[in-house]
Amino acid sequence: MKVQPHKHILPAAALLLSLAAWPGTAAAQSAPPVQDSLQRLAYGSQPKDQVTVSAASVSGAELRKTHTASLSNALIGRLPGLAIMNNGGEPGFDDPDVFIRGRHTTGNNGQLVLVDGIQINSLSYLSVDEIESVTVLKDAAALALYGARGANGVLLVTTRRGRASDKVNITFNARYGFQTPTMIPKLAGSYDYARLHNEARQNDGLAPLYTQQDLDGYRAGTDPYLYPDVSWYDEILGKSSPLHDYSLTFDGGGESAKYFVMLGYMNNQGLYKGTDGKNNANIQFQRVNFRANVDLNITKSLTVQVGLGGNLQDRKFPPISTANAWNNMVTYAPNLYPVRTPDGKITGTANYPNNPVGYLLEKGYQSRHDRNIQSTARITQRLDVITKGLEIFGAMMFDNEFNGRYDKLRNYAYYEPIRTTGPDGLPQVNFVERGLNTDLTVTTGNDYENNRIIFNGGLNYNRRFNQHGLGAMVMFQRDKYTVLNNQSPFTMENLAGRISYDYAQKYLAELSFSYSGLEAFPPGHRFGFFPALSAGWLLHKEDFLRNSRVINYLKLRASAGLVGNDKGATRFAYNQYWGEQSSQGYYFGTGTSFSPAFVQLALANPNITWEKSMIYNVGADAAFVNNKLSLSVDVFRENRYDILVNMGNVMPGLSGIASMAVENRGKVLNYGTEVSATYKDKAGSVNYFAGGQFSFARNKVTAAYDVPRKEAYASRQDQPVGQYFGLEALGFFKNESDIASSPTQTFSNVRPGDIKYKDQNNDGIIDINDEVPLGRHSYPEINFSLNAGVEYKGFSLELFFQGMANRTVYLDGYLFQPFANGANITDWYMDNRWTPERHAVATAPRLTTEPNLNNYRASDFWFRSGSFLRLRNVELGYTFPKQVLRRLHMQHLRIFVSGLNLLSWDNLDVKIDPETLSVGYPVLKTYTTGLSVNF
Amino acid sequence: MRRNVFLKGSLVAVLALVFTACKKLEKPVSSEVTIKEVFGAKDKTEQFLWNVYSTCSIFEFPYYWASNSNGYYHYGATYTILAAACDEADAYANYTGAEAFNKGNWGPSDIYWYEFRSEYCYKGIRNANIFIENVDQSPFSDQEKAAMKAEAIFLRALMHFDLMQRLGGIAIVDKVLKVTSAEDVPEVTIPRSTFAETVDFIVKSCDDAAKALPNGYDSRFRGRIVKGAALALKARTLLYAASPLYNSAETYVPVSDPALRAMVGYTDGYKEDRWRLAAEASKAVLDWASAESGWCGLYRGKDNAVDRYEEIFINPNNNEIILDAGLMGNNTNNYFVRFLTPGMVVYTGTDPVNVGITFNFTKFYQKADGTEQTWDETPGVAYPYAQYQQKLGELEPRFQASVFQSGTEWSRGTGTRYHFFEHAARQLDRYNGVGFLRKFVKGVYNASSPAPRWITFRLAEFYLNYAEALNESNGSASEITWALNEVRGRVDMPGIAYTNQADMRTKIRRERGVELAFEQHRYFDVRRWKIAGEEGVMKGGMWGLKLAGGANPTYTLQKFEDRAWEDKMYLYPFRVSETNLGYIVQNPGW
Repeated sequence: MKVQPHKHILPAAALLLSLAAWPGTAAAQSAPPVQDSLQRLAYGSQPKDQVTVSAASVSGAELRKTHTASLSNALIGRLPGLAIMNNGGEPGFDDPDVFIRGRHTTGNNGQLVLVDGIQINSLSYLSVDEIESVTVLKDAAALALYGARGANGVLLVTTRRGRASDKVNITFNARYGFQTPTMIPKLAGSYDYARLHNEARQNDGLAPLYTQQDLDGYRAGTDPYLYPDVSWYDEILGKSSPLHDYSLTFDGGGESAKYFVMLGYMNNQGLYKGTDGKNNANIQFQRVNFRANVDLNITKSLTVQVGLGGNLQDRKFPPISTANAWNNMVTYAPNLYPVRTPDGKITGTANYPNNPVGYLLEKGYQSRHDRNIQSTARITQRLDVITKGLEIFGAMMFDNEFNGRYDKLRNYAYYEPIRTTGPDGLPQVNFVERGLNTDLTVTTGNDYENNRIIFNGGLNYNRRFNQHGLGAMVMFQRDKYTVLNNQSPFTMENLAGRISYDYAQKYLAELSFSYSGLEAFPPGHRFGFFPALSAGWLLHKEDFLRNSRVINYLKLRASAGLVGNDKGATRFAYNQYWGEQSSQGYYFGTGTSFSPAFVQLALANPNITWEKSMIYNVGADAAFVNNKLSLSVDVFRENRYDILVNMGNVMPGLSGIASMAVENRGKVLNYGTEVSATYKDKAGSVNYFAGGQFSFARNKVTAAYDVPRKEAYASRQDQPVGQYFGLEALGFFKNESDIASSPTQTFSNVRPGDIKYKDQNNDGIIDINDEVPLGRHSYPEINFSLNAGVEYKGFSLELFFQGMANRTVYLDGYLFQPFANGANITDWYMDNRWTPERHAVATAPRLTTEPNLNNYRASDFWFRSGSFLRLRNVELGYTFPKQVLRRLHMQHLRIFVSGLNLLSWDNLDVKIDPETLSVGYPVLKTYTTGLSVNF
Repeated sequence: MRRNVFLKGSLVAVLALVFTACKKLEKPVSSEVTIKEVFGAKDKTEQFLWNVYSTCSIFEFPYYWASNSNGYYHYGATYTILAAACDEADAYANYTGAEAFNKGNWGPSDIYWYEFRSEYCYKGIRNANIFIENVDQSPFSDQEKAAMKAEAIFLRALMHFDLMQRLGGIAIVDKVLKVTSAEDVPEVTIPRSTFAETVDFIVKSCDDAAKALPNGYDSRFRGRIVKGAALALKARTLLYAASPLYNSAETYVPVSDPALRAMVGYTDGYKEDRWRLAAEASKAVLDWASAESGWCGLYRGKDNAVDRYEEIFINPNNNEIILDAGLMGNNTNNYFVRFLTPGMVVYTGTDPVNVGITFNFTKFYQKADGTEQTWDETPGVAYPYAQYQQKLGELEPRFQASVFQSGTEWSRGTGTRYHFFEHAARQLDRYNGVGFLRKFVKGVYNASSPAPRWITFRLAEFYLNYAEALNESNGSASEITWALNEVRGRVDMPGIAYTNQADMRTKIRRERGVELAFEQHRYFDVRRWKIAGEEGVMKGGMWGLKLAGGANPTYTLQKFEDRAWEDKMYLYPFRVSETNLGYIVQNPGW
C-alpha cells in the first residue's frame, strides 16, 4: 500500500527499532539513516506500526560495515530468516547461495529479488553506497502480492533518494582492504608423497614405484630437475589480494526537487601471482556503479520520481575454470615435474599437460564485460478532487543487461621430462618439446543480452474516518522479459491489491491478493488467485498496558495465505513436441549415410502449473524497559504442495519413455521460527548495545514420489529435502580374518584398513540397500548471529559473530582421496591414516592408489557436523569531534579499521574451511582500513 | 478544469487496462510439430520409422565410452563383446562388463553391467506401437503403409525376443501406453506373460509381418526389414522355445510358484513337436532364400576359404546377411578400436581392452583336413614356440579368419608378422587365451573408420538351426548332414556323415560354435542347452597358451581364471527398480 508517510507517523513507531535495521551508533552518522518509521513492503511501504506481515530490513549503513566485494555476502547474518551460504571469495564470481526460511521445495528454492521494483538476477553486484535498505519478505501476507512467483520469499532492495537540505551533501567513502585465504590445505612434499605412495601400493599388493635412490633424492632435495619438489600452492598463490572501493555521493534539494547521485568504483584482485594483465591475468573484478534518483513535485498534487542506475562489471581471469585450476594444484603431485626446465620453459606430460603455472601465465586470458542499466519513472497524482485520499499512479521501468566476452588465448609448447640413465650410470633427465607455441588470438562473440520492461499502474486510497482507518490499493503490472535470440519473451501479468482497515490504530486487519499469470503454463492453468489475510493488535495501547513500565511496546501479528512458486518449471512443457533428433537415426545401405530420425520429445504434461504454498505466521514485536530492549519473534508453518516431481521415479520401465513428464504432486512441510533481540543502553559517556538473531527452519518431504526402494529406511519420504543417505561405518577392517568374518562388501575388494560398514538389512551383503539417512543436509536448519558494540568519545568498537548449526557436510573430493588421479596427500590424512601398526588410533582409511569405491562413498565416516561459529566482522572506528572538523570545513569525518572472517570454530576435525569444504577458491579474510568524510 | 479531464481520462485508461489486460498473455511462438503433422507428411512418417529402427535394432559392438542412453544398451557387454562373457573369449582389461559376468558379480541392483536394459527395449516397443497406430493416417499408398507397418511389427517382435531371450516370459506391450500422469501407473504395470504366450506373440507377429514385407529393397535402403528377417526371427524363436531350458518338465532351479513356473518355460513337459516346428520354420528361411528372395544364399565369393569367411564380417555387401545394423545414432566417438582391436596393431593408445580367444574354445576347431588337432600339453610345462605356431596354423580356415595368433600377419600379404612376446611394453602381450579376436575387426583400420555392421541374422545360422531341430525331432538323416555340410563345404571343410542322434548333437553344437563364433550366439546357446553350468563352459577354468620370449621362445598351457556360475543365471533378474514397483514377479533364485 502506498501511504503518505507523514500522516501516520506515531511516536511509538519512531521508538520501535527494528533489530534488523538497528544502526550502530557510530556508522549511523556517516550515512543517511534508514527512514526508520517506514517498512518497505511489496509494491509500497507502511508505517512500521501498522505492519501486520512478517518482514525485516537492514540498512545500507549497516551492510557497509562488512567489507565484501559482493552485496550478498554483506547480508550474511544480518536478516532473520535469510540464510546465505558463502561459496568462496573468487573475485567477480562470489555470488553465494541465498535462501529464505530454509528449503520449501524439492524443486527450485530461489527467491525473487527486486531493486526498486525491477526483478534482477542477483543483488551481489550493487554497491552498498547506493542502498537505502534491503528487506526480506517472509510470510504469505507479505508475499501474496507477488502471486505465482512469491512463495520462496522476496528480497527487496531500495535505493537511496535525496533528502531536503539547505546545501549539497557531499560524502566520500574509501575502503582499502587486503584478503588472504582463511585456510589453504597443507600438502605433502615430494619425499613424503613418494614414501606414502609406496606405502599405498604396498597396501594394494603392488610393487613400489619409487626406489630407495628416488626417495633419497627427494629427501636430499638438491636436484630440482631430477627430483622435483613443487608446492603448486606456493608457485601460484601470492600472499594476499587487494580489495578496494570508493564512492562519492551528492544529495540535497528543496520543496520542488530532491536528488541523490552516487558514483562508485570497486576493484578486487585474485590470489594468483606473477601475472601482467596483458599476456595473462590474475582473476580480477572491477565494478563501476552509478545511480541518480530525482524526486520532483510538479504541482502540489503531482509528483514524479525518476531513477537511473546501473553498473559496469569487468572481469578478467585465466583461461582455465577456477575449479579446475584449484583441483590441479592438488592433483598435480609435487614430484610430477619441475615448474620449468633449466632454461625456463614450461613443463608438462601427456597425462598432466596442464602445468598450473603454464596455464596461469602462458595461455592468455579471458575477460567479460557486463553492463546493466535500470531506469524507472513513476508519476503519482493525488485525486483529492474526486475523493479525499485517492491517488493514481503509473510507472514504467526498464532494465537492460549485456554480457560481452573478449578472450585472448594462445597455446604453448611444453617440455616433457624424460628420465634416462646417463653414461655414468646415474639417472638423468632430458626435456622433450611437445606441442607448438602460438600467438595470442582474440576470441569474441557469444554475447548475451536481455531486456525487461515493466508497466505498473493503479490506484491508492487512504483515509481516516474518525476511529476507522481505511486503505486500499489496486494495481496492474505487466512484466516482459526478453532474452536476445530467445523466440518468445517471458511475460508475467499481475493484478494485485490490498485492503487494510484499522480501528483506533490499535486493531489492524489487511487483505492482500494477486491474480497473476505466466505464459509458461497452459491456458486454464495460467492464471491463479492468491489471497492472504493478516491482522495485528497493538497491545500497549490498551488500558492494561498503557502505563506499564516494563512493556513499552507490544504488537501481536498473525497471517495466513496462499502464494505460488513458478521457479523450476520448464516453459511450455504442456505442449507435446515431436522433432528430429540428431543423435537418433539409422544407417541404411552399406556405407555411412545416416537417416536421421523423428522422435517424440520430452513427454508433455498438459496440466503443468506452479507450486503453491499455504503459509501461516504468527509474530510479536515488543520493546521493554524504556525501549532499551527490543524483541521480535515469528513462528511459521508452510505447506508447500503441487511441487513438480518427475514421474519417471514411479513409472515402470515398460512405459518406454526416456524422459518422463513432471507433475504437480510433491509436498513439503516447512516450519520454523525467527527471533531477534537488541539491548541498547548507555553508562556515563559509554554507549553500548548487544543483539542477536536466531532463525530455525526445518522441513520434511511429505509426498516424495521417490523411486521405489528395497528397504523402507531408504525412502526419501518424510525426510528433509536433501537429506544425506549413506552407509554406517563401523571402523576399519583389522585384518583378513576380520574381513572374512564380516558381511561381504560389494563395492570393491576390501583389505585391512578399509572402512567396514554395517549390514542394515542383515542380508550378509553390504550394498546400496544398506544406505540409511545419516546426519542432515548441506544447508543449515539454524542460522544465528550475535552483534555487540561500544562507543566512547568518538571511538567505537563493534563485534559481529555469525554461525550455522544443524547442518551436515560430506567430506568428499581430492583432499580426502589421496593418490586418486595422482592427487597429493594432506597433512591430516598423512597423520591419521591407517597402517597395521596404527590401526587402533587411525582416523583415516589406509592409503591406496586404486579407485577405492569401498572407502570413497557416502557414509557417516565422511559426514560431519557442519556447525560453525565465525567472527564475521570486527570494526574499530574513530569519529573526529565537530570542533576539529569545522576548521577543516567538514561535517563529519570517520576513520576505521575492520577485519572480516578473522576467526572461526567448528567440529570438523579436519583442517578445512567449514563454508567451502572443497579444494576450490577459498573463503577470504579481509583486513580493511577506511574513511568516510562528509562536506 | 482541463487537468481534471486529463486526470479522469487517465484514471479510466488505467482502470481499463487493469481489467482487460489480464486475459492476453503472449502466446508462445512455436515452430514445433505435433503428432498429426508427423504422420501427415511422407518424409516425417518415414523418419519416425527410422526412429523405430534406431530404438529397436540390435547392435552389439561396444562403440561408445559414453554413459548416456546411447551408450548403454545394445553395445555389447560394456567395452567388450558378449563373447568375452562366455567360454569363447576373455577381455584382458578389468573394466569391462564381461568381468562382472565372469566373476558372477552381477544382479538385479546393477544394470547387468549395461549389457541389457529392458527399458530401452520398451522404448523401442513404444515407438513401434506409435508407428503402428498412426501410420494409417499417412499419405502413403495402402500397400506402402502395410509394408511399413509390417516393418514396425517385426521390430517390435525383435525387441520382445530380446527380452525373452534373457528374461523368459515378459510383459507384452502391443499398444501405446498412456503415461501422462501418475494416475496411469496401474495401467502401465502390465504383468509378465507366460513363456508360451511370449513365444506365441513373437511368432504371430512374424507371421503377420511376413505377409506384407518385401523380399528386398533398392541398394539405398539395403538393411531394411525383408520378409526373410521375419521368417528368421520366427525360426530362431521356435528353436529357443524347443530347447532344453524351456522345453522340459524340469526347471533350471526349483520353482514352487505355478505362475512363475509358467513364466520361465513350458509347463506341459518335453514336447518333441516343438523341435519339429522349429525345423519347419528354419527350412522356411532356407526355402525363402533359395526360391523366393532372388538374392540370398551362403556367401561363396573369393578363392580362398579364409578370405571368403572373413569377407562376410567385413564387407556388408554380401548375399548372406538377412538383417544387420549399423551403429545407432551419429556419434563418431569411436572407441571400437580400443575395445576390440589388438593393442598396438590398430589401436595405439593406452589401456586397450584386448579380447583374447580362450584355449577352451580353440579346441572346437578341427584341422583344415577335418581331423582333430592333438592337444596334449601338460599345464605349466614350456613347449617350443614353433609348436604353437604349427598347431594353430594347422587349424581350419574359420580359425584363421577369426583369430589373430602370434607369429601371423594382421594384414595378410604385407609380410609384417607380430610375435606378441616381442612387444611387451607395447601392450601386445596383454591378453588371455591363445590369440586376439580377428573376426569383425580386420576391416577396421584406425579410430576414424566406422565400426562394422552387426549381423542380426545371416543365412548360415538357419542351416545350423535346421540341422539341430531336425536331429532333435528325429528327422531325416540326409537332411541333417546336408544342412551341416553346406556350412562346412562353404569353407572347404570335408563333410560329416550321420552317426546317431547323441553324437550328431555334439557335432552340430560344435559346428554351430565354430561357424557362429563370437556372434553372440554361444552366450545364449549354452543357456538354452542348459550346459552353462558344466566345467569349462560358464563355470570353472579358462585356459590359454602363455608365450614367453627370449632366445628360445616358448608357450605354456595355463589357466588364467576361474569363472563363477550359479544356475539362477540361466535367466536374468528383473531390475530392482522394476521389482520394487511391485508388479513384476522376479525370476527364480534372484
